[in-house]
Amino acid sequence: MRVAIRAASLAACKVGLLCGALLLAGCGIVTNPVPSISSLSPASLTVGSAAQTLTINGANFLATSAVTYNGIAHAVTYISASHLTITLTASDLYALGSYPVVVANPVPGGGASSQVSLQIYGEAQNSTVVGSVVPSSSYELDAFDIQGNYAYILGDNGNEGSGSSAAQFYVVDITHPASMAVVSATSITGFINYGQSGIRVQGQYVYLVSSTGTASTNLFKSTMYRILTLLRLPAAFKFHCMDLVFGYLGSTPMLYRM
Amino acid sequence: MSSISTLDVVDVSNPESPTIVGSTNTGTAGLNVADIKVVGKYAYVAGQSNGQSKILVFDVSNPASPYLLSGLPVAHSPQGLDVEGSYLYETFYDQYSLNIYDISNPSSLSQVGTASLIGTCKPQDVTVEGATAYVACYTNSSVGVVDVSNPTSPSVDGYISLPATSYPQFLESKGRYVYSISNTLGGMLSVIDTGGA
Repeated sequence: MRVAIRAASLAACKVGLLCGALLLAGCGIVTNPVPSISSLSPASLTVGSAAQTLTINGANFLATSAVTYNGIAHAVTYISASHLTITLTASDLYALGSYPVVVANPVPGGGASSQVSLQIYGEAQNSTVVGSVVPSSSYELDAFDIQGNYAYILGDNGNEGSGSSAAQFYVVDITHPASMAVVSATSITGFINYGQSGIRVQGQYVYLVSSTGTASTNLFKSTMYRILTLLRLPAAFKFHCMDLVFGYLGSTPMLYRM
Repeated sequence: MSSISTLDVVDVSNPESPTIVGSTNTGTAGLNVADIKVVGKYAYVAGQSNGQSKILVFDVSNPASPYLLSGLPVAHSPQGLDVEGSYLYETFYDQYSLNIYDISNPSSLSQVGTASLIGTCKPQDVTVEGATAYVACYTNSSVGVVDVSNPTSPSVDGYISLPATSYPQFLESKGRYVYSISNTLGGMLSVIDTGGA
């Protein structure tokens, strides 16, 4: 920003900072900086929250800074050049959405900050992760299906398309989400994964589909296992496919593959 | 040149002797299938080939002769797909969005709504439970919750943080629980209690 200085004597003109404002003592001019917002605290709130304080963190705030929330001016409490607060009323928080906050400094100089939005979320805030389990630290999880109290998961070691590729089939007891347990981990011989795979459980059978061969040949294979014994059923048949889905036509179970 | 991709129907009524009973081509060479769902007599497929993305609808009412019923060009990078009632839900990785399509006329799908996700959420899978869609936010390790009670005006209800670097890719929902798995080494199965019925 360019400021024209008019003074009887430039020698008498001293430059300093006062509350973030550029002070040109003796020059007769104070130019205000442009404020900036780095974050809001809190950054998000649940819809329907009670009235509360919103802290605006940033730089170049002044005692004379103004704040708008969703385009509406709110009374400001100046804390420091890097902190302001406003009070949000219940009516500010009654609807889902993304609401812009802007700080503006008065002239001379001054101007408005870029906007940072407060997110008003819904009941998702009440959802929580109640359990996690890592079947193997050296395997990726490619596909899964949930049936009853078990999760059936297909994993691979991340070496798709190479000779060292390996796959595993996990059964996880999810009866108690907070304390899930891997009840079996079975290496799948000859089932070479290429990252595209699918798994579906139907009755007592697990249907797996994945690729075999190298990236260049990119052939796909489907294999079926009995859940209880993981006994491989007749020789796997090969076809090109990338996903599986079950459906019924009348009472006939059908498997669709691509 | 890639060969034309196919949709095949396998009769698994005798799991020990699966039989391919029908097949049809997708009309698209080298289709990279992102997801497939079968509901009623239709199979819905999202995929892309040579930069062209589509949602395809197949009539599979006769397993012996499935056929391509319609195709709707869509934005780049479709990922997960789910169907609930008369609507199809599709995530778009590079668009940070969940789009909703009316499938009441499977011959002519139409987009009716879209939910813009937060800029750190590149979505993968989606699962819909009642009036709520759950989206796997791969890039910020969270699950996005989208209120789809009004499909023409879906609203993001919030994000549920998963353990850091879990990078969720696939989701399943069963009642009040949403399950996610991650496609990274040390892949994690996580369970979210949504507090629902």
